This record gives sequence, structure tokens and C-alpha cells, in this order.
Amino acid sequence: MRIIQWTWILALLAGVSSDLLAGDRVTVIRAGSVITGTGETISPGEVVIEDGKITLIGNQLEIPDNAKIIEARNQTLMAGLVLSRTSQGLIGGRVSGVGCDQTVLSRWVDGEMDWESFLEAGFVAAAFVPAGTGFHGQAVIVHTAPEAENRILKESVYLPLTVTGSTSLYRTVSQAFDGARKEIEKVKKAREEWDKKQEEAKKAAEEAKKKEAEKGDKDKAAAEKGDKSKKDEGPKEFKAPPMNPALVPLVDILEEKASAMPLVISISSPGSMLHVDAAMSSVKELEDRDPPSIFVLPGARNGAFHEVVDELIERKATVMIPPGMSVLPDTYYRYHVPAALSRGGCSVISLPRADSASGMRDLPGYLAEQVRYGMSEKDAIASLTSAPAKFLGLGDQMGTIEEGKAAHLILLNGSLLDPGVKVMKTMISGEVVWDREDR
Amino acid sequence: MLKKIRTITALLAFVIVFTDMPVIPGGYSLCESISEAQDPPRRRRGRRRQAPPPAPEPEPEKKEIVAADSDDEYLVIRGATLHTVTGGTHRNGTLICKNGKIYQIVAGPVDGPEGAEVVDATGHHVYPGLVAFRSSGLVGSGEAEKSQDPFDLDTTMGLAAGITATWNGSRVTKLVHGSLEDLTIRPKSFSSINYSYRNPRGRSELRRAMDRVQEHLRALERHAEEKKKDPEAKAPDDKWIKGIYATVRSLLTGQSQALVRARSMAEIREYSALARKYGFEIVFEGAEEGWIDPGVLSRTGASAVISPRARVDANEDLNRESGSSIENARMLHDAGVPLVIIPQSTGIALWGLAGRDLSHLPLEAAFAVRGGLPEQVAIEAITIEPARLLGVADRVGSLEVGKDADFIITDGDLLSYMTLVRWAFVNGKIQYDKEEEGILDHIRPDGDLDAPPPDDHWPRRLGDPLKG
Repeated sequence: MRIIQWTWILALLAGVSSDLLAGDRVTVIRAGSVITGTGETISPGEVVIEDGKITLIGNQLEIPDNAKIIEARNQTLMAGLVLSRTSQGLIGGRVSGVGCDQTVLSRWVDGEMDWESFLEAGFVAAAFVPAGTGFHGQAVIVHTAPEAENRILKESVYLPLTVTGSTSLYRTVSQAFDGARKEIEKVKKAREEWDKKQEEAKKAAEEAKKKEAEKGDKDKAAAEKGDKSKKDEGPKEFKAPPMNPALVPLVDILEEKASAMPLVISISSPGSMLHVDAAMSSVKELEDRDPPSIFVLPGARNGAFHEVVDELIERKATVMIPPGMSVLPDTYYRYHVPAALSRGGCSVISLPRADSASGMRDLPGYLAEQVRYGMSEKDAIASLTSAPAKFLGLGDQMGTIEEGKAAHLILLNGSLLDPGVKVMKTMISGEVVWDREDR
Repeated sequence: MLKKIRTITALLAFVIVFTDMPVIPGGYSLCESISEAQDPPRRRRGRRRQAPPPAPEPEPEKKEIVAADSDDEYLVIRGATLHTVTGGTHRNGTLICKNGKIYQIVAGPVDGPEGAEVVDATGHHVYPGLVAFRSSGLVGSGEAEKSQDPFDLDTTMGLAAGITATWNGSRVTKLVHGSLEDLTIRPKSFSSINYSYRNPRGRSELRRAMDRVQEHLRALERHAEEKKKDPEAKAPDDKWIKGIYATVRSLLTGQSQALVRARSMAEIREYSALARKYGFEIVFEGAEEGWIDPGVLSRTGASAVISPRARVDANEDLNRESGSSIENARMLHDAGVPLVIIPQSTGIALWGLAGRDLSHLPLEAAFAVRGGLPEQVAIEAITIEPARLLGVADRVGSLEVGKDADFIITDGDLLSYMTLVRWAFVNGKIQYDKEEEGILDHIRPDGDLDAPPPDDHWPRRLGDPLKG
């Protein structure tokens, strides 16, 4: 009560019109603790949301009388989770070979998507890629609110390359980049031809002029006419022949365009990493570039991924990986690749162990295990919030609780890494889009 | 009689080695270091089989050891018993490798070049890396450079079993950990033919193809003669040589060998008769009943790829010998048949440690010794003989100067049931170190027979090995 009184007094003193403060667009969340994701935990803490954006974070803030207040004194508030790679609920066939232009936009029926399961697990944004192998499309980031007006947050985010077997990898990579090279050559050739034509036209025009000059001033009018017609023919813009859209993103990579999408390479065995390097350096344009450094590792329990941990750390790689213990079959080896990568300084992004509702729901529990094996709590939480947001280019919009960022928040009945913790409320742009109490 | 001949052969071999005795720097001579010449008994070889290249005698005094300021990488193995397989055994010998090749084999202790990597293997034994004639899962399929998982546990387990090279069905490939370079030694393929009496139609087709191709080859010979007189003589048409005819041609011209799986003596006789009639080389896989009439194989010049632990029950309805015999290997060897030994299962798995897969290749050979095969021949049957059969004997299969530095260092005699591989080297680099890998490091650590079991036996290392 005292806070509100103070607010009023302050507001009056400052001479601020009460209308401004008292707008019903203001929402305040009072949480038991606020994990900002920037290294700070405020308990108890409050977050003020205005126009769907976070405007104030603190403790015992002044709150306008008629602001909408969400009381969650026994809950924890944190930034909404970001899913960096999923293909859930898509329709249509799998993409294989080289299909960089494929997106999920033609592969879902929005109304039939199970957005609830994303929200229940705390995911406020997700990067969708078409399912498949090889270069199977490009990622599109969306909001997960069931009735989002602007569903799409960002298009053309990254290019997934999914490796199934190493032999097919070599084939796919050479097929893809050979194709892209041909497209570049096609445009180059068309350009040369166009230049040649221009040159010829110029020559012809000059000759015509000469002839006219010889004819003298007699046919001045005719000459003028000729000039006119020349003007009509005049310097046209060069129109490049259309490129195969499935190859355009690869052309961007070969030409080192700033807009080129990063390659996100999924491998299923540690040795594939060496094969990816070999396949990439067999493309002559890519030979001298840095080796690929964004990988998706499998969540399978078996696999000697500890063999490539050092190499990934050396590359300062970004690694998307489902948390979990790995086992070298038939030995006593137990190891924790996400924890090791995180300790080594890689940017670790956690993925669900299964690309499904239950996989997403179980994710924090498995992540907690990595904390037990040496991943810092901060990195573990970042692997579901700020790390994916930053990787997907949304770092200025979400991923942490900071002033100015969108109010994509979740309320939990404990810390994210506590056993049995549940998401109680999920908010997108300050709106509660999922509430456990309504269930 | 036979015995006499063998004694004479052994004596002769001994004399040959003795007179060619190299002088070893440092005052060591063969008299001091025990060097046993174990020249294998002379055997009948297939008609087109190339004689194995003569083993270059170690001549250490001819080569100078270059100072280590060059880029050459030297590796020196000291103190171990060197089992060269083709050139005798040297106790306390020294093996010097340079840039992944064997550079010198010295029958005594010598100092390596400065800066060389030195492995003190005192009390250990050095053998050439074992060659698994056939395998599945140890290396990638086809061109291994493009298909192998270099971190596959199966590769490490193969190395732990002492295997450094194997045939994956199309290529002879090395077992290398963590790298995709220098894997393939060379391609190798056998021709497969079916002459089973269960398939009479196939039999007659095969015979017809043999006849036709043979006729074609004779026509080619005649044409070559004619061409000397008449340079414009027309060559016989060979467009029809496709499919089975192409297979048969590569057999009859000696470009390839036939690899057939034959278990019973009846089958072996059938195939042998065919091979003798048309004159092609044949390799029998299995040959469990070969002991019944080993002369058939030797007269055919056939090789045998056998699994001494394979069992075939005798057919009691027959009034003659049948079924497998523990003496199979010994009897085939006595008849002069080149032997290659592989286990029945050509895969590898840790749970196969007690089984009959490739994790026990030396024990498979030891089982043949149990049946009477000389130990030296059993070792050859898992090293140099498969290398010869696969056409890579110039690179691997024995310790010889100039060959690849692919060898294993064991903590005991190769064929002993207790022996484990301590290190495996491929291309002069350590590919397996027992104390580093979590497969067998807890069993007699550092070869100590009396070592107490580790306190943390289970759950050992249930933590995170990446942590330390």
C-alpha cells in the first residue's frame, strides 16, 4: 500500500499526468525472483511491461494504481526459451539433396499446429526447418503464440546441412557447390554477351552516324528520327538470367555476400566432422576459408563425441546439442559433451532430446544433469535463452530480461534447473498466452 | 623321409642366414644376440603366384643415421624381441623407422638418431601388424577415405586385437584412428564364381563360358603370331565379353583369383578340378573338410582361408571321413597349401572378447597350433600370408626394411592366451595405447602379472573423463 501511496505522491510531485502512468497497457509482474539472464537475480523482483516491452526491472518499484498486476511471489520469472531448430508438426515430404529454397511456410497449417506444447515447455520462439537430409531448406523463426498476428519473426536465418552418411555427404556438397558455380558462370556469361551486344550496337550506331554525315545535311530530319530511335534502344539495365532458387543461398556463400546464411551442419558421428572438413575443402572456393564451426550434434547416448570436443573448442564452435550423458559402448566411459564444450568456451545451445512435446518438456531436467557435471548454471540457462537468441540474430529482442527487450517471459514454480520444475505462465509481448491455471 | 628333407631344409636355411650374417655396430653379432632363422618350409605355389620378394637382409652398417636436424621423423623401438616373420627373430633388437617406413632392423641394441621418438619396449615383443583377411565394421566400406568413421570404437578394438590392415571387400585398408589420410593400401577384388553341384544349370553355363573364353584367348595368341607375318590381320572380336565372360577372362588371364566358400571335400574337389582344367588361381574360404584330402588343394595350387575353431559335424551316414578336424590347418600346411587364418565372425565387438570374432585373431591362430600347426606358420597365417593373398605383401605383413612401419608391441608371445597388445603403430604413429584406451587398460596394467585389481573397478570412471 505504501508503495502505491508513494507513487501517487511522486507522480503528483513530478507533475506527470496520471493518465500516462495509469494506462491499462502497463503490466507489472511481481515474482519471487527474477533471473535476468545477465548474471543478476533479483528476489523478490518486479518487471514492468509497457507496450509489450520491458521498461523497468527492479525491486519495490513504483507501480501505477490501475496497472495490471500479475502476482507471482512464489514463482521465478525468466526470459522465454528459444528453440533453435525444430521440424515439429510439419506436413509434406522430407527434403533431400539440394533444396536451399525450401521453407516451412508451405509445410504447415497454422491453425493446426500444436503451439500449446511449445508454450507449455516455455518456448516463445522457434526456428523451423523442413525435415530432411542434405541441404534441406532454410530456417524461419516464428512466435509460438497460438494467435499471433505476426507469426514470422525472421526469415532466411540459416541453412541446415544434415549429414547422414559420409559418402553421400561428398556427393551432396559437390553437387550443391558445382551447381552454384554453374549459376554464377551462367550470369557471368549472360553479362558478357550483353556487354558484347551493347558494344556491337554502339558500333552499328556510330557507323550509321558516319553514313548520315556523308549524306550531308539533306536528311537532317531523318537523322533526327534515327537519333530518336537510338534513344529508344538506349542503355538498358542488364537483366541477369534467373538463378535456380534452390542454389541462390549457396551462390551467396561462394560469393561471400554479407547476406549469406551460415551453414548449420548436423552430424551423427564424430568422424563426420572430419568428412565435413574434407568435403568442404574439396570445393575450391571454400578451400582457404575457416572450417565450418556451427554443428548440431546428436543426442544419442552412444558415440565417441568426446574425440572431437577439443577440435570444436579450438574452433570456438557454436554447438546445438541435446543435453545428456554419453557412453562409449561396452566400456566404463561416461562423458558429458555439452558440459565439456561449455567449459571449453564453445557457445552451447540446448536442443530437446526428441523433437516433440515431451522432448521439449523434459529438456530442463536433462540440462540440470549437465550442470552437475560441470556446466555453469548461467551457461545452462543461457543455452536455452540468450545463446540461441544471439545465434539466431534476435539478441536485441529476447533472450534476457533487459529494459527495451520484448516481454517474452516465463514464470516457473522454481528455478529452471530444479527437479520437477514446471512452467506456470508463458508470455509473449507482455500477453499471457499460456497459463497452467487454465488447464 | 619327409622329416629328413625338412631337417635338411632347416639346416640349409640356417647356413644361408649364418653366412649372410650382418655385422652389427657396437660389437654385437648374431652369435651374441639370439637370432633364429625360421625360414618357412618350401611350399608349392600356384602357377601364377609371384614368388614373395626376397627378404632384404638387415644391413645396418651401410646406412648412416642422419642427424635429426632434417625434417625426417624417426621412431626407435628398443629392447624388444623383434619377430620379423620373414627374416628371423632378434632378441633385444632395435627397430628404427623413418617417416612411416621401416628404416633399419638391428639384431642388437643401438642408439637411434638424435631427436628420434624412442619407445622402450624392454620385455615386450614386436610383431608386424596383423592382417585380417576379411572384416566388417573395422574400416569404412569402399573407399575408406570417404566412408570411415575415424573415431569408431571398432577401429580401436581392431587395433587392440593387433590388426593394422584388413580387406573390406573392395580395398585393403589400414586401421587408423582419428585421421582420414593414408588409409587405403590398394584396391583388391576377387572373382566370385558359383560351381555348386546344387546348381547344375549354373555349372554348365560356367563351363561353357570357360570354354568360350579359353578359345578366345587361344585365338588371341594365334592372332599375335599372325600379326608378325601380316600386320593387318584382324583381331578376334571381344565385344561379347561381358558379365560372366568378363569374370572368366580375368580369371583365365590371371588378373584375378577366384574366391569361393567351400566347406565339404566334395565341393573342394569340384572347384579344384575346374581350376586345374582351365588353369586359374583359386582361394578356398572355409575348407573345413580340406584335411580329408589336402593333396587336392596343393595340386591345384589353391590357398585356404580357414577358421580353425569352426566346427562341422561329421555325417555318420557316410562310410568315409567327414566333418571338421582340429588338425585341418596342420594337414593343409603339410601338403603345402598356403594358409590364412581368420575367425568365423569377421566383425568385432567388446562383448566378443570371449567369442570367436576378430578381437581374437591371434587366438584363432593359436588354436591351429593346438592342432599341430608350427607356431611360425600360424603367425604367418595372420600376417604375411593374408598380405600376399591380398597383394599387399610389399607394404605390410612382415618387418622388413622399406615396408610400412605398421607393427604391434605385445606384452608376451603373440599366440599366448594372456598376451595383450600394448601399442599398435600404423605408418610409424601410435594408433593404440593400451594404457590410454578404456578397453583393456585395467587388465594387467603395464604387463604386471601380480597387479592388484583396481579399487575403482566398477563403476570406474563413471564420471567425466573430459573433466581432468
